[in-house]
Amino acid sequence: MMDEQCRVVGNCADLPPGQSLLVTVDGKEVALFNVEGRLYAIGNRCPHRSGPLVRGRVEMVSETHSPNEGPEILAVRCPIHGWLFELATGRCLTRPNASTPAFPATCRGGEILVGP
Amino acid sequence: MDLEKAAQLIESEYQFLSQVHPQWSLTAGPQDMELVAHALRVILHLGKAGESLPEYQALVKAQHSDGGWGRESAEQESAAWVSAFCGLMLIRANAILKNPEIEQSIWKSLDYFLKFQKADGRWVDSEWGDLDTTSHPVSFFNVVMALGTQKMKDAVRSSWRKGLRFILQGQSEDGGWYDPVFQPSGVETTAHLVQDSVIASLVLPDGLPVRPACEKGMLWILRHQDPDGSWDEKNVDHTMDCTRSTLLICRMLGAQEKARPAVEKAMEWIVANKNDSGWPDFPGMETNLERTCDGLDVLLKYQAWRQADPLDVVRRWGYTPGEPTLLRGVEAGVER
Repeated sequence: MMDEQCRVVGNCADLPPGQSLLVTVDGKEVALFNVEGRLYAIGNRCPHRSGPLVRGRVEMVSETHSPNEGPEILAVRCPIHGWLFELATGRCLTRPNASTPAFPATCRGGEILVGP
Repeated sequence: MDLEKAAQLIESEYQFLSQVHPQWSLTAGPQDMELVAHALRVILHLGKAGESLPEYQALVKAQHSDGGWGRESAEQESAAWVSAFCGLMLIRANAILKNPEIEQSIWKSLDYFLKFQKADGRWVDSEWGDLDTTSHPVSFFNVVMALGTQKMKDAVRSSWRKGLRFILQGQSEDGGWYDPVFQPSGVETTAHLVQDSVIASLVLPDGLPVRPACEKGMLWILRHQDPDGSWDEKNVDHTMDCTRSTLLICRMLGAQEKARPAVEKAMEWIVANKNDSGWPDFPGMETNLERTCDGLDVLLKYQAWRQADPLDVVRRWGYTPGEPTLLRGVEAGVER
């Protein structure tokens, strides 16, 4: 739910579909992704070796991240060692015990809002 | 690239690495072991192993009872990828140091890999794809076959061949090595595997079909270079990996003229995207010490690649071939 705790972090025009954007919220790096008009926000640094997730590729993968196996999940792949993170939750699909924080994000009135 | 400029960069970047010694040295406290191994490789290639015994003794001290190392020095669980890198650094350094304690540690490390290899030749590490993980013990065993005692060579020979076979069987028709879980793009995996394969071919007594695999691998890497000279969307790590592999493979295949434009463009990109001190993971990011070690390693390998003796660059992979170990069928590329 987006509320008054949300921060304006940029202009929607800076994040067209298919693009990603790095912003800082309360001193922390947040990676924003626009996937077909829907925004996702997760912590930018991979918990493995701090790879910048904002530079990662967005992919549709299965739960087991094998092709043609089970329901597909929208995920970003860390560009350093390939760990996968579910964009909606920040859950790591490569290592079950790892994750990156996920935040609500939306585009409203031409501004990008990121929640706590 | 101007060799004088390369030498100046090596000097200034090593000076920076020395200034931040407590951030990577086990002699200063617990560390990320991948970073430690990367830094020790720089020390080796700068010819400073002989004056760095405490660094290697600290590495021995961090070894677990099963013969492996953890991803972090304080971590109790051993991990294959980093353990191979540590074992490799020890055997290479001990060619200079001749230290019995280090030799014992190398044996423990060999036992670790012999014990944990799977039946089909692979090694596994939950943080890396199986092909990439396997390439590291194979790389370690390559150097064991070159620098180890006869007893060591006898101990690893069969395991080494099985590992190499697993790598060669994993190559795709187009010349790349892909990992569907960790590296679908194949860039880093191909760069790692092709260099380990070609070094293995130097010590193979009866030859697996390595040369065609390496030729295809090199062409794959060259095809995937971006117009600006980088690989994998300006990924500094992967660009350095691909550059190093190309330096080695093209020299060993006698194809340096074919690869020269790609190499020079890559070196230009690597130097242009350096921070004031050190290298980042991507242009514009903060300096990463592991990447800084990689940057120094690329410059040192490039220096060697520019020398008249084609084996100079091979030596930067820890292998000092003698007369009976020329790359089979590639004598035109590597002559001695």
